[in-house]
Amino acid sequence: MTTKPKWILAFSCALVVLGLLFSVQFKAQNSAERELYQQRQENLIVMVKNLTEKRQKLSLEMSELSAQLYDRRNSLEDESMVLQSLQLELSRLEYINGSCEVTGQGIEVSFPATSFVQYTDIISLVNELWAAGAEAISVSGVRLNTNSYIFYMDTASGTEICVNNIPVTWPLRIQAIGDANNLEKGLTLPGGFMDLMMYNKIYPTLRRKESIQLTAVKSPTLYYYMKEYTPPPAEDSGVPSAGAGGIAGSTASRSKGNGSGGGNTGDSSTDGIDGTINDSGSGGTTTGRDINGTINGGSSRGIINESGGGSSAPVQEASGPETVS
Amino acid sequence: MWRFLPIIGLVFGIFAGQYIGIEIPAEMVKYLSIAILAALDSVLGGMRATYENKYDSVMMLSGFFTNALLAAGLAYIGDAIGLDLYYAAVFAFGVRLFTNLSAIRHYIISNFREKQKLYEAHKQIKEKLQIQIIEDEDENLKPTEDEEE
Repeated sequence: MTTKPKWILAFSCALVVLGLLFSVQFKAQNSAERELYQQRQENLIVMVKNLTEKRQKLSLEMSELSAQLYDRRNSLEDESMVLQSLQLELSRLEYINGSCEVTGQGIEVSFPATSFVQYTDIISLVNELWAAGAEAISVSGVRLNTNSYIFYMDTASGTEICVNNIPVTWPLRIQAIGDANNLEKGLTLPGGFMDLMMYNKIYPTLRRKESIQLTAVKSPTLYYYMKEYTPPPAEDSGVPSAGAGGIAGSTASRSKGNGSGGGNTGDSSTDGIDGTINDSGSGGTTTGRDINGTINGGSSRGIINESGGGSSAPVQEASGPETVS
Repeated sequence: MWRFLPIIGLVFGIFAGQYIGIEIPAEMVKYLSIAILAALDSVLGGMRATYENKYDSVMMLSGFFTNALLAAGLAYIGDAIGLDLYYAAVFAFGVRLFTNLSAIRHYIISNFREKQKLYEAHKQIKEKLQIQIIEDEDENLKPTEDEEE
């Protein structure tokens, strides 16, 4: 037993090394077990099975989720479709309203500076143009819309024809977008506008144009008193707007600008019923000799252009003439 | 007290390996495992040799390291030439490990039995001696009794 320390020392050394190797191996194996190529085939098969099951589950979940996503996106699309159509309508209304620039083929009528043109001539010209299917008109660069009015005004240089309070410039040019053929014919038909002008010894020139650019209406009208009309439940409902000016209703329900205009029956009735606003509309006379009424009553397309002057407009705009029918 | 030094060494080695931070690459794990098998076999062989009184610490330590290195190297070479020498090494060392273990078990048990036999023989001798003593006492007493009687 004297040899005991000797073998024990050697054993201890060996076992220290062995323990070292063990733990190193243990650590390495732990990390290596995650490596696929170290795995056994059976383990790999089981793993593949598990993973396939998992994948199936996940793909099922994915399909459900994508169906959900589809639904959501659909509803979103519906919303965006609504939004889109609203925007479309908005832009369409803006075109109609004259609140954005437009271009298109059309016709240009220019009066030489020397010609003696009365404002009524311009009104009748505008009426003719509307009647002939013009879609947008500007008089000496001022775009016409539902609130436009044309009348004399005293300016620094004397009495001038003004459109929306803006004096026209000479030579007076009136541009209209529409089918150029139709517009030209509408003006040149026998007994029409051109003949009338000839009769008055005014010689405007017509010019067809491939593209005309019309500016937007400068200052949009502000409305203070006008409200959307909701028919009362009582027997009043029969009264309004069905009247003689019946063409009026084209945009009545939608646009506030026109909506109340249904009742214009030639007389400037301020029928307070149902809140209609006093339009100085003339009946459908194309000659439109009423003061400042540029109503285009005869329009076959039912477009009405009431230039109600300041009647409904706010006070600051009311410098326009009062209606005299 | 010396008896526990190898166990302490093993524990120390394990802890050292845990905290010393030796990292071996994953593809070497296989060879390290076969080296560990060889080393374990050497240790067990050494234990067996101590029981057989053939122990030589130089042999044991040299066997320990060379076996481990050789096993790992052979497995590596086998992998390099496309031959699974790894399994050969596992088989060989595994068989030796189990034979060593069984031999150790045999020696331990036979040692134990011999000890027990010795103990029992000792006991028997003791008993015999005691019986003899008693008998002697009896023999001593009887005459006295007889004498008394």
